[in-house]
Amino acid sequence: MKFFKILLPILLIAPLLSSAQCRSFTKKKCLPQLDGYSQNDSFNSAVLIPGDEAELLLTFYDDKDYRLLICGHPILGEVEFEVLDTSEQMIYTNHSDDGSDKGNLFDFKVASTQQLIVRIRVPETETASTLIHEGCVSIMVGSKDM
Amino acid sequence: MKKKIRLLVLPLALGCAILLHSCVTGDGNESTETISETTNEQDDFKKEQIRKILYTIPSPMSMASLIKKAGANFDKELMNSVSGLSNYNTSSQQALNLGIYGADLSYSSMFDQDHEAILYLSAVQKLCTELGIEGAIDSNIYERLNAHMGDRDSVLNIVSETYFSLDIYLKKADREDLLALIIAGGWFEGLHLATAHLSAKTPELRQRVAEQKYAIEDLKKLLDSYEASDILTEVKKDVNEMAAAYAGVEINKGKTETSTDNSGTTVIGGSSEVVMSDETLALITEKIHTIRDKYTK
Repeated sequence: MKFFKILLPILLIAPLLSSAQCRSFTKKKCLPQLDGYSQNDSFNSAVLIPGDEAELLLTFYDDKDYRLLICGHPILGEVEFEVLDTSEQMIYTNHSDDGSDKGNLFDFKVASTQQLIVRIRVPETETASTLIHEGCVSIMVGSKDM
Repeated sequence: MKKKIRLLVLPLALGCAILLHSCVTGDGNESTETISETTNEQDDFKKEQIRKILYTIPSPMSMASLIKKAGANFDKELMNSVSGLSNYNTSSQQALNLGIYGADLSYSSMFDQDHEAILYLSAVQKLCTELGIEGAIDSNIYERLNAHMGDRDSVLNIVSETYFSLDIYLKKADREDLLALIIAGGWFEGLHLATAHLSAKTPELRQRVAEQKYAIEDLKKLLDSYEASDILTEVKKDVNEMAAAYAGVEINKGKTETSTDNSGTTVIGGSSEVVMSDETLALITEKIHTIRDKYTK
């Protein structure tokens, strides 16, 4: 019983701390990478674990230059991401066939206004440890007029 | 066993499950299963839709930028007067008009109307207080805005940062239903302002109005994901009427192609085309003004 009296407050508070840390992480570590671009007004972050995937649909307009930034906590390793059209045709991936990584930024523009899917994946870890690492991943879009 | 998260904010129970498992037991596969079991699918759906909408619907700042870029002139009379602030007594009215005033704040800031921006920022802050979310706004916002008067980029950054903070705050406070109404209000006002500025000299703005067809479908899905309430039912009805008005807008999607321009930047091409007739535009314009006037009176 005493164990649960101690554990319960931790269980209730920890996710909030985690969420707060994610916001703090986004502001301190991610926003600076959008330097020169206007950030989108919304906050899109999650605490993820290895093997997690997430995707979202975005609309891009033809009069802007865009920077897509996938900003993950280093503990998660290099977060993979793909950009697809709405018929799921691959347009860009940061993960090369040879296993090399192209970084966490994708600068682009669109010839005509269109919706695109951004899909991210946190790589599985190959360690003997049974401890699951969780970390913040933020998906951010910056834009500037052409 | 892999799972796919369709977005992104983890509910309290999920966080507890992760923590409990990480600290007490610690097998990865089991943890994944626990997450699947403890995730509330309905809640996740709402969060996903909100997330999607936030990116799919142009922010009020984005719409104001489009109006400015189209070469339109500022028209104070198009905004919802702050003198009507005291008329909004219910939380749903306040949330909708918070979105509306927020769009007007963006519009006035974009056109360097600093005095108006201060007035609308004040209105936004008062509605936040009425809604019990005053903590969403930086307490030093006025000092910062005053210090940067005349510097449009700085003012716009402050306004944009305010939206960002509001978004974070409401998600943290689990008030995303309120956020949905604010988004709806901002979208109504943005479209109202855009259509009011349309002329033969603004073909790009007309195109952007047509492209709101993307947004209206997502707004419908978002509102449909919540249980019926009087205000939501009314807003849903209005959004459905807007969607009906947009039914005449055609989106012709071709094959996506990519290339690289002279600067080395990737260009995502394709033959996506959005077509809107004059009749459809007239219908959209009439409908949005009617809806917007109903919520602002």
